[in-house]
Amino acid sequence: MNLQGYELFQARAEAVSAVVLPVASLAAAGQEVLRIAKELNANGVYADTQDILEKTGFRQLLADTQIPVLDQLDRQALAKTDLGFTFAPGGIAETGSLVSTDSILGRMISMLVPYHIALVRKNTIRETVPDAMEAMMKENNGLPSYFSFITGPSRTSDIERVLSIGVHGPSKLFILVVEGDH
Amino acid sequence: MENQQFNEMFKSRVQKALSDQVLRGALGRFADAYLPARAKAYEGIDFEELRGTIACRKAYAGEHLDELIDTFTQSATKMGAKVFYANTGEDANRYIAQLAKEKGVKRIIKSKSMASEEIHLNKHLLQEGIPVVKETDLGEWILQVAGQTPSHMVMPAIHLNKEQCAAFFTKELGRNIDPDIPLMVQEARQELREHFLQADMGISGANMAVAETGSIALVTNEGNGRLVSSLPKIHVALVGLEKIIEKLSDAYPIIKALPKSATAQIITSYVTFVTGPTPTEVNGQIEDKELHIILMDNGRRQMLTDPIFKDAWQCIRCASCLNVCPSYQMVGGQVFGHIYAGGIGVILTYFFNEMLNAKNPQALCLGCGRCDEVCPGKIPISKLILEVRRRLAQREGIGFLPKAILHGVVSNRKLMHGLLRIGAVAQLPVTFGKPLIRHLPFFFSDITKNMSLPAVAPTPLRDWAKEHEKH
Repeated sequence: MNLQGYELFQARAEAVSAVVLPVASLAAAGQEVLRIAKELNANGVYADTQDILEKTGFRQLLADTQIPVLDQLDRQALAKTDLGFTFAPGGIAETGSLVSTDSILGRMISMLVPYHIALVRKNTIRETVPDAMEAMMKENNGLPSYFSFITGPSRTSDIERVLSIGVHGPSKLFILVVEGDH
Repeated sequence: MENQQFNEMFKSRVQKALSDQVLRGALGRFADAYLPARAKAYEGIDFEELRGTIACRKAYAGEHLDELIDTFTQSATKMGAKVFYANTGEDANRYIAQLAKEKGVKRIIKSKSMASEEIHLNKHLLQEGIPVVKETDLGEWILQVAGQTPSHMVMPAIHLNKEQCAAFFTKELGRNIDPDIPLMVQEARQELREHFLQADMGISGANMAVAETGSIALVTNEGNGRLVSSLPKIHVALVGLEKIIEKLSDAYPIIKALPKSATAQIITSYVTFVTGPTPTEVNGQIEDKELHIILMDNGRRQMLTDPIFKDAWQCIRCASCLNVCPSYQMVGGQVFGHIYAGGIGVILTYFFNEMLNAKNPQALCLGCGRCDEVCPGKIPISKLILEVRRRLAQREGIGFLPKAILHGVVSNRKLMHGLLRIGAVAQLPVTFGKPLIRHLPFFFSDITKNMSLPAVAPTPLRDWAKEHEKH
């Protein structure tokens, strides 16, 4: 298996049960959010307040459904909501990871909701961990005060070494990979 | 004789572990699965090169420890963290208890920290009347309910089967829980959720502490590490001095090796770097947090300044030495360990806890060296265990009879060979002329209960070889 770049990213992410969904544009990403929310019959979508997420038009799409969009800082409300939507400023091909540099709202979304949709641009997926770190530090002008590499949903093998997906973090991770620049 | 009692108690614990079918099953299955899974994770990676780098960079950090402690303290403090240097475990316990009392902390959540087990933090907090300390790592939570100690550094509850786990869940939750693993995981998630949301203090460990940036890194899978370090207003990180590395780039080889060696994963679900306190949400508002980083010695400096044991500084706490150890596979970490288990556990116990706590575990080491081969820190673990053995023997003695035999007989060549020649003849009543002794009589019968002994050869190999050398 001599993959690299996006193909390696997809292979590695899928190997740890992430759902990788390539989309042609931000608008297409918005459609995916709508589709997933409807399929899961989500009781709400908690979204981080990021320009790039707004550009997907997901709010308007969801407005036509009964599914509310939330973004207030309220941990109890977060803990009750099914679906979350955040932005990942980068990815790592060798591990199938997303780079997360979120503020507290974004972090709480990616930690508390059981279903997590993360949007990443294909051209921000770097090859290795050091590559991704370098890119992240350039973009942030230094080290963000809290960042994570997120690889697949949460998991444990603590009982009988049987793999269980979905412990305290999300049980399912959808990765919307946006091609192109819009 | 106290020594005798000590030995007898240990022997019976070994026997108990050997006859524990659940434990043997779990450990056996793990041992079979580990090496192939590890090989797959390391596919395409030069392990020797990787561990050479890790050993080198960790050793560097050890050699420059004081300088790096200063750098880390400065960097972290500049970012707004409070750094406390704890000479002993008691110092660390006291700091945390005092902090909790000062801030009126009512609920504490903890993610996995071997250092906190080492210093019996939970017990101390309980004694100080600090209410509700909840372990959030699934294995640790189960053990907290069960009142047991971990049997493995990375998978602490590996010795329990799902039926036993279900019984503990039932007891804790007060309703019947089926031995269904996905169900139990969901129950744990639900049960601990309120604690995550309400806790006013989170205590974590750290896998690395980067001096150049003042950051701590957490390598986790369950998501509890991220919650513990994000939601509560106060985050306390308990960090052993050996976690300190010089720069961010030193973290990469460790991030590469730790998941692969520990659990045969390419990477864990979450690798998190915390640099200074980050704001959290309190009642709908963004508020500043407090971040307290405790750098703890508790015997680490003593290990580092020991010319033989300084290599142990290179440990990244992956537990692969346990995973390949034949003795560990037979009895698990509650017998082959004292808080820290397995090969590296012997060494850490010798320095961080009481020297004598290492006495029983070290006796189980066969010196096979499998641990040396897989250690990503390139630590000569089997050699270090032998040194622990030697020092303990020097201090404690090895008993009159063994000493008499070893010094008086075995090291006296002529006497030893003479006795063996007599034995070759005198053994006839138990060998019946065969090469194996299947049954020894009377009070020796226990020895041959589960195994046969080789008989003394009629002609010693050295004589036979001399004979045949001529041709």
